[in-house]
Amino acid sequence: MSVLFERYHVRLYNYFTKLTRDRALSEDLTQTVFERAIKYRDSYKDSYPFKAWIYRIASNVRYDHYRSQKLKVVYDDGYQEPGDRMDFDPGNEHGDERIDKLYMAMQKLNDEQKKMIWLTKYEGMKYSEAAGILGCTESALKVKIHRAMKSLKSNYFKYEQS
Amino acid sequence: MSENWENTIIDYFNGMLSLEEEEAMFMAMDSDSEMKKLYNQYKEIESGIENEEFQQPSLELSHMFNQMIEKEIKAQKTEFPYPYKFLAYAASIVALITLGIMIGQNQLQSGLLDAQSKEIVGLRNQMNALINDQSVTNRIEAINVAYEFPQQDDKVIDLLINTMESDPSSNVRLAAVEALVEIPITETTKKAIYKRLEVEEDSFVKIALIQAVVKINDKNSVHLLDKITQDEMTPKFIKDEAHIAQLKLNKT
Repeated sequence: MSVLFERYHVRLYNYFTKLTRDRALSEDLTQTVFERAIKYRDSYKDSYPFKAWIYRIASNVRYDHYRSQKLKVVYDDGYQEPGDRMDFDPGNEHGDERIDKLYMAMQKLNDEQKKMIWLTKYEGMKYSEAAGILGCTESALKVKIHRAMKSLKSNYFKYEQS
Repeated sequence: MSENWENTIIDYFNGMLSLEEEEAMFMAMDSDSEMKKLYNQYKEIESGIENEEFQQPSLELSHMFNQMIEKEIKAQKTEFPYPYKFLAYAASIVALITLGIMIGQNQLQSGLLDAQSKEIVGLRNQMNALINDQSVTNRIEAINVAYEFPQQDDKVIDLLINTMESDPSSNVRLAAVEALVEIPITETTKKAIYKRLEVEEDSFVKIALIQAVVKINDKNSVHLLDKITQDEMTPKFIKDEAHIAQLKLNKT
């Protein structure tokens, strides 16, 4: 289990920080993912890639968190984090301007779009694999990815112009 | 330029195009400046994503995880109470408890270890399927799968070495060299890298091999770098790289 923790906890933590911009909350959510991984380990199926399984848990953990907060906004529909939680800085220790711009552009996307971009870009998943995690068909995901990337590009270059 | 090309560019950067589709896209781009501009914009975003470094969580997370594991193991242990009354059977009871603890720990670990071994088989299959593909993108993707393995895997190392030695694409060979030094370096890896350094003709792969030698940090390999710096046919920028590598190795 320690091997799996070592392998995935940083990635999951970064996944959650992309979504929440809240370090402490992201650590809590990452921990919850591993609690559930231990609890439901028997539910892991041979036919399902492990990475997809752990991200499916992560997706549910994220959803449950917001349900428990009884937020009034519709989940995955352009939800923005409350301002007082924005304590997260982009990973840009080398002063790469592109990373700052990318961070700003990503923050303007909705939750679902951030998740799709994380899974396909940062985790390098195929559309079919990401679709399984996000609970939609591959063709639907493809259309959404196109839309998400166009929004990301638009935000990115809008930020550049400003 | 049609909107479909923009979708195609997005799919290209997500590695979803076939070789034929990639060729068609690049051909169309040659005669369409708008499309070329769009391609460069997505390329810039892609580059930003690639250069972004992961943030590290606090040590508290690892600490909490260790506590969670300890708690789980203790919970498993309590399923095997120690029968104090039967002192006459002390020896066998001790054995029973030891067995109980082992079972407890095993129950905790076995499901996840099973998951891990299943995952390794899945990753191997994924690599084997992609490495023989005609598409360079897919072969590079196969190389990238090597980073996913949770522990050293000799079959993966063999596959990477074989790719480094024989793949016709320099980009794929380059990816193989980079992967070989990112996973635990074995004696076989060292020998293969040294051997390849002597025969590799592509400049970029050769530089990657020189950097690999530095990473291996074996002073016995300095003579290989000497050969490069003294070879009249070797381009200057490669000689410079070899010279820098010599300095780094001699410094350590």
